[in-house]
Amino acid sequence: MSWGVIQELGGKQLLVQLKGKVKIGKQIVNLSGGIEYYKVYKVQGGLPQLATSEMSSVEGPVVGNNKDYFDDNTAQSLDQEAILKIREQQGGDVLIDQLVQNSSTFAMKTQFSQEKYLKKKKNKHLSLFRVLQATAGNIADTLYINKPTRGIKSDALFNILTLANIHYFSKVLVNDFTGGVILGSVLERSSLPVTNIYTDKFKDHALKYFGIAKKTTPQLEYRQIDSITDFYDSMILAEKSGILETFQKMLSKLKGSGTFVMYSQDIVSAGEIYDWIMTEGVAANVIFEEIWTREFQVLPQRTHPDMKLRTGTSGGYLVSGIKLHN
Amino acid sequence: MQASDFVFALRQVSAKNTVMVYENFSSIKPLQIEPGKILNNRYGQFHHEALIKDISSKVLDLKGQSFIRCLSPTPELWTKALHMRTQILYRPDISMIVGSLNIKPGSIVIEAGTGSASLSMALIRALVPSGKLFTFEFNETRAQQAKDEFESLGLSPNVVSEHRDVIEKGLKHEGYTSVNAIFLDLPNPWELVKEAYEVLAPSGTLCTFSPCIEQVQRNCEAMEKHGFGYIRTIETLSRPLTIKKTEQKLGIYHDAPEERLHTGYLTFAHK
Repeated sequence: MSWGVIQELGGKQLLVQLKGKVKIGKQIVNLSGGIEYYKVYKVQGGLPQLATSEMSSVEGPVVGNNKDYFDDNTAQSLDQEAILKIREQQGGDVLIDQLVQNSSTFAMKTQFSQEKYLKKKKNKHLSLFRVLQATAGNIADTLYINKPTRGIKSDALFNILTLANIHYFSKVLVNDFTGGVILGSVLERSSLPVTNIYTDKFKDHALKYFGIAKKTTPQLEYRQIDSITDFYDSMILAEKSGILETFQKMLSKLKGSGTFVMYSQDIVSAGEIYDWIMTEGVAANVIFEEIWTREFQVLPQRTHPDMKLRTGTSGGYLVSGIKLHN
Repeated sequence: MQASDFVFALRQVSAKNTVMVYENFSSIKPLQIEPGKILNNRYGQFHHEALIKDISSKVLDLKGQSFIRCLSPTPELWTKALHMRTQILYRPDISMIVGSLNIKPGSIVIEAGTGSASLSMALIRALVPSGKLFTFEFNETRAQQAKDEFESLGLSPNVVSEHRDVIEKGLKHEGYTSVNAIFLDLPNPWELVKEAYEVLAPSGTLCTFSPCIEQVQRNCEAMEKHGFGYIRTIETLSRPLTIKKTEQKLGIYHDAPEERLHTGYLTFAHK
């Protein structure tokens, strides 16, 4: 059964199997009837229902401000018990109308502020969500959001696939500390052998999200560093910290003009690798960099970078180059 | 297609193949190998055959005084070396585009405009051997230059490179009924959003690249209006780093003079 990414609007992001019942926010929804990717759904009666477009309809000059507004948590007159009762018995849409009516401050908000308030209530009480395809990038970001120390962001992953020159005819050596995000991404793209040398308490839980099972994938092999006899076109060494020694050992297994990329979450480790490569003169086109990405909120009269990003802006540190024969 | 046919594969280089002559980090030039010919540059004279004997090794010039190296072509080396006809896309944006459009072997992709074909090479690398790139350029000279380049690198089986103004003529083409991904780098991409939706296969992805925020706002508005979902706008950069060593320690610094602080905004929208 295929996997997908459930993205709760304003909430969690998780990889789930797209069958049967799934928990969205505080509600359970049954996905067995099928669901379309990328559309926004609400949960109604335990089933997914397409939600109306989230397009912002608010325009014009700003009316209102917070001159007389004071937030002491007393604006809403409905209590928690009443809220849950209305939601259960009359549904989320009715509840939201009731919340607005019972708010002493809603009317004095600007129209943008009102829209933001409504959006937040809808996300919560209608359990708005969407399903994303389990692509390499979405798998990477979802795992990273939930466990950053064992993950890699999509921006770093995509730069790795580029810098390592991964394509259909690439024979690749990989050290993957993320439990298979990099392995899976490479296997989706290459038809040649992919060798994994990561041995420290290796977990390959991420392979299943790609629909890959190690046992039925002869292309993928696991090897101890000291038993590598082949030569490779590309080398990707990803470790949270401290991959220099592995690089020094494995460089001889990379063909001349082969491409390598080292990924580290720790800038000092990355710097040490860069230093060694430049001192020894073993590579051309060497780049030492941080990958940096940020997202934007794009709304009429309210366009600006996101103020909060679950993944942060730094994708990690990369050292890449092309091996030279000396 | 086999590895030996693919210019970006690490393969045995033979006559008529292209290699990248690596003089230094900033000086890389493509060279088409012709047996019997001699390369003449500021480092000296080099037999073509000597250049490809052992790829990436030092090759001494005829006088034995200096050396250069040859490297196997990659889209990244190509981007560095290419003759810039337009402002090009650089590797961090290229990576994000190819990755977020989920381009894999077999993908059918539209690119408009071709420009200097910097992104085109990375798109082709990702989709061979069974996929195809349809790339359109409204400037006739540039369209021909791109076509010639694809031809010289042996990439013609995987790319249809045409002179076409997509704003005028649209995105529909006899070469496909629907495509997996569309990339638009044009002054006014919002005008094509409606047709992009029609041409994309279900779960296909549209990407626009626009330098200015006003363009982004118009793109997003059009995407919402015409049925796209999960619309994200991002900017991505590479922050170059450098080191300074003393006997006591290794210092790591941002390479501020080399930083490119803005290229454009990427918006991804899904069908």
